[in-house]
Amino acid sequence: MTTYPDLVLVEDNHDDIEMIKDALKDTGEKISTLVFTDGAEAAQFFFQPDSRFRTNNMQPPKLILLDLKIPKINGLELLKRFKSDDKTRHIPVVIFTSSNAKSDRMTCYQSGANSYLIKPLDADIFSEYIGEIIKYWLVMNENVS
Amino acid sequence: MAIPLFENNKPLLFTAAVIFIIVSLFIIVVAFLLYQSQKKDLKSAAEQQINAIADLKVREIESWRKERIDDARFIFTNQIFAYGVGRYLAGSLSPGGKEDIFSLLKAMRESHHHKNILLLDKDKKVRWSAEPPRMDFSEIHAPVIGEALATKSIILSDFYIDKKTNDVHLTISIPLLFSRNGRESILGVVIIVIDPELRLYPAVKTWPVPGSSGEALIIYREGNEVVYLNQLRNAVNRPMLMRRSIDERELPAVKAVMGRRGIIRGVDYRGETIIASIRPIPDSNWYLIAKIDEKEIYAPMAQRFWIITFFVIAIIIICGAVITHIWRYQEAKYYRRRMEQEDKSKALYARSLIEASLDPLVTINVDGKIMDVNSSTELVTGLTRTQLIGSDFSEHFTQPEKAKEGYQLVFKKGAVRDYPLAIRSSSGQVTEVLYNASVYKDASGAPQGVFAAARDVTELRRTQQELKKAHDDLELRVRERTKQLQTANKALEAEIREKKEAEKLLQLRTLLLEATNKELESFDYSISHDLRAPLRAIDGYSRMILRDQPDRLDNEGKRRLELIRTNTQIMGKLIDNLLSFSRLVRLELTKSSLNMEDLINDVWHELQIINPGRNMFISIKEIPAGWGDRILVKQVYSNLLSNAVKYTRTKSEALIEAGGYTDGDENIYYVKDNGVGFDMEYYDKLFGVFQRLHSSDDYEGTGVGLAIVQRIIHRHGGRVWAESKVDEGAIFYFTLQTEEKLI
Repeated sequence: MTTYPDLVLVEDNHDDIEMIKDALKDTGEKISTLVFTDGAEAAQFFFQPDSRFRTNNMQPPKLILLDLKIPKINGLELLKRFKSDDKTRHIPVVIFTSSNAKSDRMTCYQSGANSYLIKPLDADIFSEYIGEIIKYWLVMNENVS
Repeated sequence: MAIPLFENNKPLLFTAAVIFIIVSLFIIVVAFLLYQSQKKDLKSAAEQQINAIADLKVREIESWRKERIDDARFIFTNQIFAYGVGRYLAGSLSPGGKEDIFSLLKAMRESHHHKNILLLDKDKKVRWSAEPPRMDFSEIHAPVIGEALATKSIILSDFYIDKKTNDVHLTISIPLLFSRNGRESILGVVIIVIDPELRLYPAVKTWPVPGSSGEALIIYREGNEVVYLNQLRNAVNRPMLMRRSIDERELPAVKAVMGRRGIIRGVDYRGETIIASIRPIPDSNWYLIAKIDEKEIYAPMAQRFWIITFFVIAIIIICGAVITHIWRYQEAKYYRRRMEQEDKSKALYARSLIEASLDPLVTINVDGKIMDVNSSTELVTGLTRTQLIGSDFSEHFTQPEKAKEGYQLVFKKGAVRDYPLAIRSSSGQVTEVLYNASVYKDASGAPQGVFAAARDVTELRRTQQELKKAHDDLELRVRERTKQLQTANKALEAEIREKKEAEKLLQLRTLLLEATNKELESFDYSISHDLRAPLRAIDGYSRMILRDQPDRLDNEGKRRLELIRTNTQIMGKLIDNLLSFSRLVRLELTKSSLNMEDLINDVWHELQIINPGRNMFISIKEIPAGWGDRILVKQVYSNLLSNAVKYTRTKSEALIEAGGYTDGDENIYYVKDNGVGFDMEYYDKLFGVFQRLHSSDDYEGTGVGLAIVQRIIHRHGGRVWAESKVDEGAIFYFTLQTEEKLI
């Protein structure tokens, strides 16, 4: 039996990772999460031919939560690669970033982002956002498989 | 003068060509007729010739036959010979008698070269023969012998051909009759065998005139065939062996047996076209045909054709040459006439040019006498043309010697230019002139005289003087003006230098500004990302502690953690404000005409919603339309009015006033309140970023509002200031440039 993550989190800020994980716990759902702290790691997992994801015929994750400002390969580039590869094109990608620049929003949507959220400063609202995202994309939304 | 002239010489050329063609055709027709008549002459000459030859041949044959018959008659009428023969046949003749008879016959044969002479009895049996006869002789010649015996007359037979030897011969059968006591009895028959080759054929064959194709034939009809009796010139067959069907109508032989006589044209046995003359030979069924090839008759025509052609071509060429010559002559005449006419009109044209000249023109001969003048000369001298011509050129000038030197100079040098003289008219009036003159020569190049044109320079001199005066005046004025200009120029140069420096400075500042803008952009990003991230973490962890470990904290600890969380939010707001302030620096302004009253009402409406229950009033006085960025100017009012509302909080009723007026090229706007005011001592800190004049406990806020107002107004090129006294309200002013100036 192949194990696969429900959620792939690409985030370099460890505080944000902890807060997101905490918020995931709050949802009460059992969610398996795979975390990559830089773009290169994520790219390796999804696109390298001998990766676990490619060779095991692994079922794709239900959601990718992607920060824009990450080391090595930035979030926008990663998004473009997700949306141009046949094996990852259909996976929903939610941008979760602290940038509220209009140009970022525009290019992300044009590159195929399914949603764009700005990380709130207030921890309560932050937790609430994560809860809503999980509720929508992992529980309510029907994916391809 | 009306010389009929063609537009060009084309008709002339056309006429020449037509004449040439007609003459050529005429020559060709004449040559053709000549050729035809020559041909006809040749033909008739040939016809006459063959007729003559045919007649000659017929006569020869006739005489030959007559001779043969005459020979035969000698025997036929010789009763002694007949008696002798009778005796011989009866076997009662003496050897001497026999000798007489046979020596006669032998002599006859020898003298005429007959082939043979035979004696037959009345039973057609050969009783004697000079040569051994053929066995079947009687049978072959039976019909002729029979005829001779029956008719008791001499019979000249037709040609016989010996089928064995192919020899041709004729026979003469002579019946031998003996009369006694008035009774005539037939004794036998003497037969002479004649070889036609001996005399007849050569007589026919010989052609009395030179020629290659002339030939005579003897023919007769036998059944449905014509038989050629003599040896043919151009056939290998022996005589009599050549036979042709009478169906071959074109053959002259067939024509002859069909009854044609005289000259005929036909195709002979060789297939050649011939002209022939046909004659029947009297007392026989023979025909004589004398013929000659048409080709031979016309043979001389080939040569004549070339001679005629040569002459025709020669004559045509000569005609062509003559016509060309005439045409050339006519053409030359035409051009000469045309040239003459042109010359005439040119002369008239030249004369009219001379007369049209306003300048006095004269021609002078080598002796200095005037030869010709134009009307201008008459006018300037006051003399008529007849008076002038023949007079001395120099006598019409104030300085005759100088005038003489003038034209002598022309003869010497060929031409002079602008030679000054003064003409004196008959009434004494003097006209200053400049002479331009040159020598004109005849065709051999010898000087004929001088052509001189005078130009009246009286007017020119006056104008020159006036001009000089004007020029002097002008020079003076120019000098003055130049001085003024030099001064002005120096000032201008200084100004330009300053301007250039200012421009350089401006460029530098623009560059700096652009660099700053870029830096600020990345600064913004850092603030929003890097500064907010730790705040988010502080709040997040605080929240986790409060939620996950509430039992490990007492109430004071919980309160302080809550304070931490509150402060992080305040920090977040500060960052936001700072960001929006810094963005103001970079934002592009989109200016338009603004209704300030509407802007104020909008802002006021929002403030009323945010501050419910406040007892506050606004009065908007007269206010001119603004020129600026709508959103930013609204922000200015938003900040000023919310400040006014905030600092009137302690008052029972807030009275706020807004208005404006135009002063020169700027509009001044103000917002006035009856609030707590501020101490003018701290005025310099009023518009600073994060500067506050009141404690944040009393009045919330980050201290960015007025800084933003100042920044916006400065970016519009305006000024901001304020006046206040503590507890006596405050009044804030700002200016915007009027629209007109900006345009």
